[in-house]
Amino acid sequence: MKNYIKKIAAVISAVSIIGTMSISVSAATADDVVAAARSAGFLEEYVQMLQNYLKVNKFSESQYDILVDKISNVGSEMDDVALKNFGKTIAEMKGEAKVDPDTGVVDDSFLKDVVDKMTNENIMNSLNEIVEAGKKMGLNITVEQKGDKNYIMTVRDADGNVQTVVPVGKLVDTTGAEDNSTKGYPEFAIICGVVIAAGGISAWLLSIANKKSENTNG
Amino acid sequence: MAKRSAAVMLITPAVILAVCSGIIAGASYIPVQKIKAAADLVFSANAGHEQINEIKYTEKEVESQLDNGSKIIYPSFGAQYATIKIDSIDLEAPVYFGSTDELLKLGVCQYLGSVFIGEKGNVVLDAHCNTFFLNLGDVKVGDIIVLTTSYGEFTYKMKESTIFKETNNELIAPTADDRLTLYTCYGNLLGPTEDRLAVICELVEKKFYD
Repeated sequence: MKNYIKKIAAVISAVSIIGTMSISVSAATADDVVAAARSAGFLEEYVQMLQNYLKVNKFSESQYDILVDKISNVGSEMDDVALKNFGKTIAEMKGEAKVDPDTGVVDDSFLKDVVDKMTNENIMNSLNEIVEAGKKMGLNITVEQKGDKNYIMTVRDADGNVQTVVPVGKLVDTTGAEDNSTKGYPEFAIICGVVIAAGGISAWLLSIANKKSENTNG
Repeated sequence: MAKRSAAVMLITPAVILAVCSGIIAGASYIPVQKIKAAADLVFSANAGHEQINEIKYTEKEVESQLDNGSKIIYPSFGAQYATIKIDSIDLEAPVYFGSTDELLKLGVCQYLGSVFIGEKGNVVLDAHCNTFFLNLGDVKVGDIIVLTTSYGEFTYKMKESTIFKETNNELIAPTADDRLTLYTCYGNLLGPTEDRLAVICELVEKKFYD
């Protein structure tokens, strides 16, 4: 009986130790989220966006845990793309990347190659992980496809206020004329062209008519 | 014969008028749009705010300290947190954090993947080529650009300009040095274009308020 009680006590203490360990291990911070993004193979532009977002919007440790977990899933998606196209994981490619001898900075141009190989499906799978993270964190994240490998991700808080609007794929803004009135320019140009052409043809016909009348008079 | 001659005399001025009207209308379209854009820029403040009110942004400011001890106030997305001043092209405009179609109507927008003004790295700002950055191409090497926030004033000097494709993210990527990158569409005032004009500036002075 004593042995039985000892065994139960040992199991309870082991479970409590493991439980305590898991709590201490999973107490993630904003820095852990950023580190997870780098580890997953996020381009530095997206890491910067994430950093900026986390500087303004604070979350609980458990919410950071959710983010780390979901970002790791994005890393798995990117690993699949890297393995399929380059035969290596992101970590392996990072290990083989050139390092600047002066600054110690790793040349991450290989990440761009991996991202370029991502299909719309790969990108959507990755974005869905973030959407799922948002659901668990009480955020409403929507994704809108704007074109081929071009998405806009909007993050709203529980009150529906926009926390951020993140471009994914096409990062350079469209900064051409924003005035809608200019959209009719091609049609306007065609009308002007037709008027000028009609005028030209009329002038040509008139000159022929003039010549004929001069010849007749002559 | 007299009838025909009279018809020619009547039709000729009409034809000349039509041709001239077509040429003048076609040629004046772009200048008129430029003038309209400039006028919109002057009178845009109220109209823009009516549009932006449709979207509710989280209003939040987070005060923090940089490694050097300077105080910085991080803005939330969509907040106007700075002004840009370029005396050489007579520009003074609000700077919003983040970029959407709506924000681009209101002023100069900061690319989310760039550092906050005052932090070390690449600050990237863009605006429409027919409004706030209408004359960005006229900024010359050595011209001074000043960014003013509630926590400091940051002065840059124009170093170089270049043209890049919208698919090329190199110029807007994070950098190790302190710089300001301004860009807008290039080559087509009236619609979308793949080319962008970038003006790259180096930091001259960082002045954080106490």
